[in-house]
Amino acid sequence: MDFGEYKVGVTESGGYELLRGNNVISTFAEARIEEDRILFPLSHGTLLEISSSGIREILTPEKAELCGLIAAEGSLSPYEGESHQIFFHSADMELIERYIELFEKVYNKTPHIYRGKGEFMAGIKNKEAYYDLREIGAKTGPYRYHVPLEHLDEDGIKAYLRGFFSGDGSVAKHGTYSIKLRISSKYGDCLEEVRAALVKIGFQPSEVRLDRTYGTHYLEIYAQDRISFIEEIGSYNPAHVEKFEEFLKAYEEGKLRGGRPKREDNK
Amino acid sequence: MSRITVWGWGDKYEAARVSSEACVEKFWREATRECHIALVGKDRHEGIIFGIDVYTDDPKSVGFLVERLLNLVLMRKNKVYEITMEFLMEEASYKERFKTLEEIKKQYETLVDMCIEKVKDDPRVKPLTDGRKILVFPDMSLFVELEPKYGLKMSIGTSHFNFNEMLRFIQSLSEDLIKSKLANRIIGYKLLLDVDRLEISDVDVTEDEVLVDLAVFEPKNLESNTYLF
Repeated sequence: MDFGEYKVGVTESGGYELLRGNNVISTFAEARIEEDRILFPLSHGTLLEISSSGIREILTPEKAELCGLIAAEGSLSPYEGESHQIFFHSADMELIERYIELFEKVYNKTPHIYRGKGEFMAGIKNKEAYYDLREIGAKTGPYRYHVPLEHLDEDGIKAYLRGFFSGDGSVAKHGTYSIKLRISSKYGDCLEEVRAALVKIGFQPSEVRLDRTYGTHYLEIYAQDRISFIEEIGSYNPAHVEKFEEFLKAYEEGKLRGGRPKREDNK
Repeated sequence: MSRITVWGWGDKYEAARVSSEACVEKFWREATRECHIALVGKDRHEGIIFGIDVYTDDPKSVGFLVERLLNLVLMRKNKVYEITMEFLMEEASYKERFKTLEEIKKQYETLVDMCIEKVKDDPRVKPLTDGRKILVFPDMSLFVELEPKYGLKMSIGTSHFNFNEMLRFIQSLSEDLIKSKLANRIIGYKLLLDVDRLEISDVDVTEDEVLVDLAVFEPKNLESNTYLF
């Protein structure tokens, strides 16, 4: 298989070898071959993607979702220092359980659950995971994060956004049957990266807006993208899930005409 | 003087009290008249951004107030974005005239009628009406002023697009402040909704409603927080 300057060959033992020119760069026991790319599993929820665009490391959907959750409600403590703690906060046990499930899949370690004031915390002290998440930019400071678009394919972007929306998204009542989807952040430059991720997979969200009263920022998923957002991205937040179900039921019953309800309808 | 952020509650909530008392120790000078404590957070249910502002002239009450406010807000499962303190050399806790609940509801109804008047003939709205009722959702800020038990002035503010949800939120939080003996009673309300600056952001249609979102399109300011209460 040829991907520009890279080639992938099968070895006698049934493994795979990655070549640049005639030089073997690496060998792999497993691979996932797709129409336009080949993926080799690396460690800690990372894949090596070879395609005609070149070679890059991408995050598995599980790791991408984990990074989205940490960006919204997590912390790497301290941001400077040696204690290597990773925390995730949530008022919902369902989200804590999802976080732990993803953390176990990616790092093969189990965070401990603590009960805080009005919320739960999942915490772990682990140097390897801490530096891995730091390098990705999962959390770059208090309320600051980096969306690792350079390491996300389309499934990864959707998974990241699912994690992020589960933590920092809101589903608000809008009229009798409708809902309004918003994503808010303290810092607008971070939220611009979330917006770029949405745009990259075909959504047309609002611009990032400043709330002048309190200096926070938000963006909205417009009505035309709402059903696509629910179906393609969704949320693990139980309050969101309940409102999505009510909304989709009303939609099925014809109570929501929703001008342009699905992106596909507009194409 | 610039605002100082109180850090360090994380998994140790009492750290906020210790940090704020250390700030008082360092920054409260003889010329300091008041300390403005400001908490900004988000209601995780409807996504309402809110703030609690307290002004006090008693340096000994600052740590206590920070800890109690943080505790109360977190127990309600809200997200806290920041707590800041500002040491002021002049009186800032001036008394404003606030409206009664009835007055504020009436003011909102009047402003909503003005919003509907503004959008009803818009080409993005008019073709969709066809017997449907127009509902508008303007970005706005709603405040409630409380008589504080400690300090000189206390208020809660919210920023969102749904007046009834904002009102429900500030009334419920006010009740909690009164129950927890941080406030005595509600003094009044204030609504900020600038019809002239609002523009249509999105239009949604249901079987009997046209839902028109209205937002203020601000020039971008992505670098810093600009707290403008």
